[in-house]
Amino acid sequence: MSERESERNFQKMLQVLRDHQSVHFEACVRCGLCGKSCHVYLSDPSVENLPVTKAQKVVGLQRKKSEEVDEKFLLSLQESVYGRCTGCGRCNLNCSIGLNIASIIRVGRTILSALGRTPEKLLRPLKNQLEYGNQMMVSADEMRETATWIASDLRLESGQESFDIPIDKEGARILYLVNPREIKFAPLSLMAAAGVFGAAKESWTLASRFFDVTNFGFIAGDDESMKQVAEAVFSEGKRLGVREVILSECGHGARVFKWDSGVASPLPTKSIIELLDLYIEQGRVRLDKKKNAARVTLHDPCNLVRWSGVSEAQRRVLREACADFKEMIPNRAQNYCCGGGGGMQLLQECSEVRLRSAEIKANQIRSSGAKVVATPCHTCIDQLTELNKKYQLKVEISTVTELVYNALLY
Amino acid sequence: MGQTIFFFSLAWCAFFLSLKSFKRRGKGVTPPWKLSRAEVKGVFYNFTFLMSPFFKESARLYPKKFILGLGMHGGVVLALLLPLLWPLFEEGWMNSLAAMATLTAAHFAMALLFFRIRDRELRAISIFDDYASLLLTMFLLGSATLHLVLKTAATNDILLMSASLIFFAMPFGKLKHALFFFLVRYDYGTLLGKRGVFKNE
Ligand code: SF4
Ligand code: SF4
Repeated sequence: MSERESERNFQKMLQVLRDHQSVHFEACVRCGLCGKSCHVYLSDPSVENLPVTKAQKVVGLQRKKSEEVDEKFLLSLQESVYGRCTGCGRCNLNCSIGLNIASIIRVGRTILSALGRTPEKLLRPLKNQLEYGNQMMVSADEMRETATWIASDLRLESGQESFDIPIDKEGARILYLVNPREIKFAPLSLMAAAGVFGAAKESWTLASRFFDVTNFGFIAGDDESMKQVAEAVFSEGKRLGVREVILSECGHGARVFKWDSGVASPLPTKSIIELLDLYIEQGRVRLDKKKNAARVTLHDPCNLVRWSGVSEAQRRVLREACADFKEMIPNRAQNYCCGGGGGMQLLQECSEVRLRSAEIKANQIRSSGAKVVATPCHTCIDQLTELNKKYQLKVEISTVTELVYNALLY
Repeated sequence: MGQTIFFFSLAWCAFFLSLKSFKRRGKGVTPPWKLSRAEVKGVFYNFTFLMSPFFKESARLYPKKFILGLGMHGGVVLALLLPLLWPLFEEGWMNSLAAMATLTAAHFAMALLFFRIRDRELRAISIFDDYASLLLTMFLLGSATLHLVLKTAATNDILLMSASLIFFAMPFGKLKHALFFFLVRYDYGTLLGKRGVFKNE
């Protein structure tokens, strides 16, 4: 790195720090009491894994000189904010002062993003979102084609001729955003949602272009791109004239669209979990819990529960849809991260930390005695599927909507 | 003279702390009169339930440090109030109780210093400020105990000096958490309230 380049980087970094300045930067007393709340620290109790160490690396930049912010430091910052933290926020609740530690650590990601140092694995999906409207470059044709065959399978399986998957239907009541992996690899999730919408006689639509519930701007700490991605989706909703945006099961998607996108949402936005809860409450769908007879436990996605406050709806839904629902301990806001959040799922170099730090989650699942683990987040689903293999949990992993679909009475 | 320095240190502290919090306000903390009902609930929750051992896991996982910290802070508040409320504590059971409290708190501060030096991790994250703040605190608590027991003009001067030192140092090191603790908990409480993040296991 030339001297000029490093000075330029340093100035950019200071700018990010100024933009994200908050009272939380000033109050850490270095008591270390946040340590045991972090699943990464619990799996490897080292100083580097203490939440305070990760946060201080960012806050401490305020006191650094330009020559201290060298290649070595930037690499260690990268390792700290991407390789040792999923941004789950569990430390926040247990900090003796009450600091928003996870948000401080995320500022580290914003700094790296400003310096062009976001890991390529996270940058690629973000570029795709900005360029193609979704992180997996699913084209409008592919979307239509997939929706057509999923809808036909749905009609066959449910025996309900009226069930459909509308695309770009103007004037529908809701726009349903999905994770592109539901189009590419997990069609059952979309089929389940379409089945429930059909049963509830909902007026809904998918969008062929801006349909992505995920937001890699958020994960990469790139606030401008996060805004842009969210704005594109909301404009699509306005263009289609819908009255509500419903988010498929995605933890960070819910957090971004409901709270953190930086865009004032022009449309009411809910997670599908909240909608399912409403359908059940209003009697719009009827369920037979005997159809889900095995014991089910619930993994609370950090972004949906600890960051977005959606914690009771999924419980009410599962109690109605499953015969034997058992909580894992701890749960709700104090639940442990599955280990795959914050983009770690995509970072090859983090897989060892990711799987090791999730041992605590595997133990939670094991002690629940459940045969099925439900979770309203596709990233968590991927991670739990890996844990299932690694820790030989012998469980089935499912979204909440899939369980509801399975219990539907027509 | 001691009194003048004490009040000057208070004014100094108020001035520089306000300046610091203004500089660090970032996008700002929502003023109390602009809070929604949900935010008020969140702030209340964050200052009460979420600080109790039933909700805050760290209090249960680190019980010794939690109790030592709590006790020490109680003693510090009392010691800093002594110069202002002296007539209340001059005689009788209030005097004995306060002396016991500050003496216990001084021991708690010593124990915390011991942990900071002994624990490898805590030592690694500590900076000079942490040790200096603990030493100042011990000095304050020691002088408060001494004055509560001896009640002489000299012990009064020592107490005023130690309290002034704390106030002079407060805006520039970790002691500023005396104010920032409230700002931070308030701010995070509004986030919890707005988003409805309340229930624990
Ligand atoms: S618990 Fe909070 S105040 Fe204590 S070290 Fe951790 S971040 Fe800092
Ligand atoms: S946000 Fe989660 S992963 Fe990151 S330091 Fe805090 S507890 Fe650990």
